[in-house]
Amino acid sequence: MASEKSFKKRKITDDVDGGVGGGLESLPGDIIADIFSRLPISSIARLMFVCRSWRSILTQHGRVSSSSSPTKPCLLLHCDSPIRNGLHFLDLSEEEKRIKTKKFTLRFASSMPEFDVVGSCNGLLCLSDSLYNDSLYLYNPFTTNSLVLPECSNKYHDQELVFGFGFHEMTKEYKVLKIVYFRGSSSSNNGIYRGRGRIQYKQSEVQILTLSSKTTDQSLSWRSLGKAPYKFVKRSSEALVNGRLHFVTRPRRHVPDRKFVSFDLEDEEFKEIPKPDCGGLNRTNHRLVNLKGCLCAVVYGNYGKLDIWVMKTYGVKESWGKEYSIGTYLPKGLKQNLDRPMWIWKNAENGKVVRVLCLLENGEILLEYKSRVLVAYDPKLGKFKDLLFHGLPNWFHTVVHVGTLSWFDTPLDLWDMGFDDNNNNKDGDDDNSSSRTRTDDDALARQMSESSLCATEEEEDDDSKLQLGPQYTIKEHLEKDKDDESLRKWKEQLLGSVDVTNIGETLDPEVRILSLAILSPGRPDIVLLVPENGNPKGMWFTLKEGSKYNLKFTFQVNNNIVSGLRYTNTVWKTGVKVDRAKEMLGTFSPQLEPYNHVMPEETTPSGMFARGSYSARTKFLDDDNKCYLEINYSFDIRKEWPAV
Amino acid sequence: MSSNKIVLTSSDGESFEVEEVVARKLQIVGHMIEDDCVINEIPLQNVTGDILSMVIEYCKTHVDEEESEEAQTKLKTWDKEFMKKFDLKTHLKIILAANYLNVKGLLDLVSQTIADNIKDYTPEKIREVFGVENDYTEEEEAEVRKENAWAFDEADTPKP
Repeated sequence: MASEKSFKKRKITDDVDGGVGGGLESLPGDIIADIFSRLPISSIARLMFVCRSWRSILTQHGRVSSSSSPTKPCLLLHCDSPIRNGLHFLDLSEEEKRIKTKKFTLRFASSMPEFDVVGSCNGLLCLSDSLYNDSLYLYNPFTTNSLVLPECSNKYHDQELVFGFGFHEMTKEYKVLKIVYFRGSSSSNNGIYRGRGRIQYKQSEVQILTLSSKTTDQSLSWRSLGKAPYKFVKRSSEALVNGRLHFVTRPRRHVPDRKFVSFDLEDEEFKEIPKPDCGGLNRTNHRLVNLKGCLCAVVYGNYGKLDIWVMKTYGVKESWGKEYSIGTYLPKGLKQNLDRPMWIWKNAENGKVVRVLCLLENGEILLEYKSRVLVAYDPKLGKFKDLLFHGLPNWFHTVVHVGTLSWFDTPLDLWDMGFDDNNNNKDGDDDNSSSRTRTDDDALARQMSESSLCATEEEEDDDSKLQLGPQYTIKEHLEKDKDDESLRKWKEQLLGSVDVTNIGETLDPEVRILSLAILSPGRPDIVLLVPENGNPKGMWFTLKEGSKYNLKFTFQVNNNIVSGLRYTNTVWKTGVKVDRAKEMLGTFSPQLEPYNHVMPEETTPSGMFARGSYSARTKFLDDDNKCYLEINYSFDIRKEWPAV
Repeated sequence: MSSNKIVLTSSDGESFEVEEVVARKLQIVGHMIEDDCVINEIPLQNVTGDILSMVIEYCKTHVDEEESEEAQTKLKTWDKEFMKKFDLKTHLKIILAANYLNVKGLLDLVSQTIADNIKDYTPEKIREVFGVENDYTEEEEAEVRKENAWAFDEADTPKP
């Protein structure tokens, strides 16, 4: 058997002529590694079972990467099915016709049946238990190496968690970042509860765990970095660029500005990152992603359109530029209308239709549509191609991954292998790594991070979980920031001519929905009064099929400003959900005069299958998720309007 | 330089007269020429005549690397055919020679060829081809196989 010694021999040995059997082992180690690096990860995994020495060569030396790379990734497909989550993979480094979906056997399946993927880095996955949310696992699905991370000594029973996972090239360390937002322990009167049942997490703590080749079981422990300087949107770090994790902050009530914040995995500092001047970033309609080693902002428009802004030189505001505009596309697979299983709603409820995953070797952009279809978009031709692979699950969440056999203690000269082309410019570059323009080659050496975890999280839900500032009464509102001219004007505009003396000091806004009206051109308005109990009896109204109409709400706001008032409407036909609509109405100040809000025009469905009875539920909620009205009712769609 | 012909001599004493441009394809020779330590015969200690002839054949074909797509495709086809002529044992010898003589293109080509050949091999086949003995116990093997069932899917099920 080849010992390590002979494996490492670099000079040609005497058995060149005679060596028949262990031929491969007579090759210099770097050549063997080079050959292995041309293999797909599945082949490499098979080589491990040839014999013990091959296994140790492949795993312990860690010098072997697979042909998978950030531009030819292994896609992991996380199926968030209830009871037991599944993990599949697609190796895009293989020839297209050979690619097929394979399913992993998960070593931790019994102890952690449901999980979330916190991040993927250098072939390692950080997973969190999605049922209990306390345990974290480090896992390499290709070697089934797994490590349960220790529990943190500081525990909070009521908490909200934001995770990050990444690797820094200089320190050669992996770090798991855990930001805990929690309620103060004893003080219950400092604005923790707002409105009804709305929980505010006032306290925070940043915890960090380092994993390196020097890590032993004893040294594996969490360190506290103190309070979190920002409140982040509740989803895992989106992009690992330049050794930094990136997060988006939550807006405060009067500071609607969202910030891009980085966390440096080396010096462990949070830093704000300049944003592109593309407008609209204060809403949640954007995600961060690493493309070619650059931080990119994916900005969503209507109908699944999106723009990709790229920060070409890291940290330089002027270098932001719009590189790609991707239009509306409906993949063939989506036309067949599968019933969305319940579990998918957790992450993907009506959310971002399109996720930007990564840039492929051929320059195409890999997109995920509605957690169901993978699409390659060619930016030069503006063409879309559905990627259909054998065995693709119906619903999945894609994680961009690199298939390797490495483990966190693998010495990472990994990047010296298989990326020969950029070895030369690597060393000199690292000094000024914070402000340089990236080239394609260089980007190869960087790890692509999971582009946008939970990117499909529902936009409104996201907003509803905002950490809002403390609530003030109207009087306090008017008193506060008196000196700030612009704020005062804004408030005046918002509050209008509120008679302060008439308004109580009650905190909670009150919204009364007075009536709903259906406006259809050429028809008298159908005005429906909302009954006290919110449940109208019998058929509430009847509509004609294929007719255009607008909904109009009349409502009154009392006591305090209601912010982010929205309307949701769900419609069922014979027990099957057929429609779900949402509309942001806006922020309203209290006034005696009722407000009228007219919804965009819609058309009732038509045809034999459309006619009949429907049941529906309409809700009015504010950004605290406080529900002001819930009506459950039935209506008919018929061939003709009912006789008046 | 008197002429632009250079003689390369293998370890077993076989001599090959080649044009300088071809010899320069072997970077080890190229460096010698630049360092002016070329007389007219270069002994190459680590390569036997049969292997050296193959390397020279490769270098002759690749002597003018044309940019045009057509030429590239033609070269690729030639490369493929060239590699098909030899078995794994010879591939390994060529790889060692290419490494020693520093012929990057050839090194790449052979590495890729070997990778393509062993890609779909089962562990059993690899053991057979490379003459490696299986030192796992049956239980151990069953265990690792169970955990890595995904990796064997393709190899174990006959292709349609």
